Amino acid sequence: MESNKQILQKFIVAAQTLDDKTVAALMHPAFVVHEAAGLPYAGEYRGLEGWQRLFSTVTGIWRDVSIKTEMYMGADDAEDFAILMILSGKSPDGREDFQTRILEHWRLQDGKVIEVWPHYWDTHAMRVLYEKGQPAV
Amino acid sequence: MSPQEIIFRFYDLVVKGDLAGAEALVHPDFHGEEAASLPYAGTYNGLEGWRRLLANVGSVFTEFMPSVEYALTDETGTRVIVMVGLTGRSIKTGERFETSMLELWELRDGLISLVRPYYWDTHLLRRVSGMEG
Repeated sequence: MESNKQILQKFIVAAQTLDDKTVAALMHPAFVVHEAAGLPYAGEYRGLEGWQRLFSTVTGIWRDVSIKTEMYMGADDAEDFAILMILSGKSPDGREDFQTRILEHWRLQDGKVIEVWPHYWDTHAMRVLYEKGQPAV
Repeated sequence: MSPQEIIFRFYDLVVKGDLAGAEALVHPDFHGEEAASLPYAGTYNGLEGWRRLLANVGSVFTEFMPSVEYALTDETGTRVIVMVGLTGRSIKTGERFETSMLELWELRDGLISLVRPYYWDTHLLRRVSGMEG
């Protein structure tokens, strides 16, 4: 039987390889990702549809997005985990490169991934980058 | 004390206002970082840096109250991540806030050598504290 940590690692790999079938299989029915109000994609994203919508929103706003996993923290059968991610890309107009750290709180329940809170290093900096990169009206 | 106990003890001392007791748990080579958008942005090095960090946060927010929800320790026993609920009030605007942060701590020789607080929303803290833009 897989540990919670293995389930989470499998979920992250599936998410990064766009394997929605595996993501859906490891996702709790009450799955939700929370995004802070200061971000351009603030809100709650529920279920597989929400997960896909969040992915397409993030990759639609930032150009050339790349996400690297730097560190997992949490005991094998814990319910709470922290993952340090590095998000890289370009501003919406492609003029500015960025790289930021995101420390994410992941929670599992009944062997499924149920909740994610990504804590960006600096949500305001992401918002400024987003607003600067909008075409002039 | 385990790394987790050291961090919990540290929070407890800070909340009680025992800053000398808290400082006794800080490594002389302490390094702290605060995000560029925050009113107390920057890097804080050494014991002088730790004191300056406390003073800078205290010049922006009052009734700044962290409450530890849980902590995770890595396999090396040198890194701890703490989920913290956070309430406070801006000295400049008087506005209260309630938020959370994940704090990454590192320990060396049983003392705190690094802290990086990942606030849930620096944009919120900036607005509450009266910073423009």
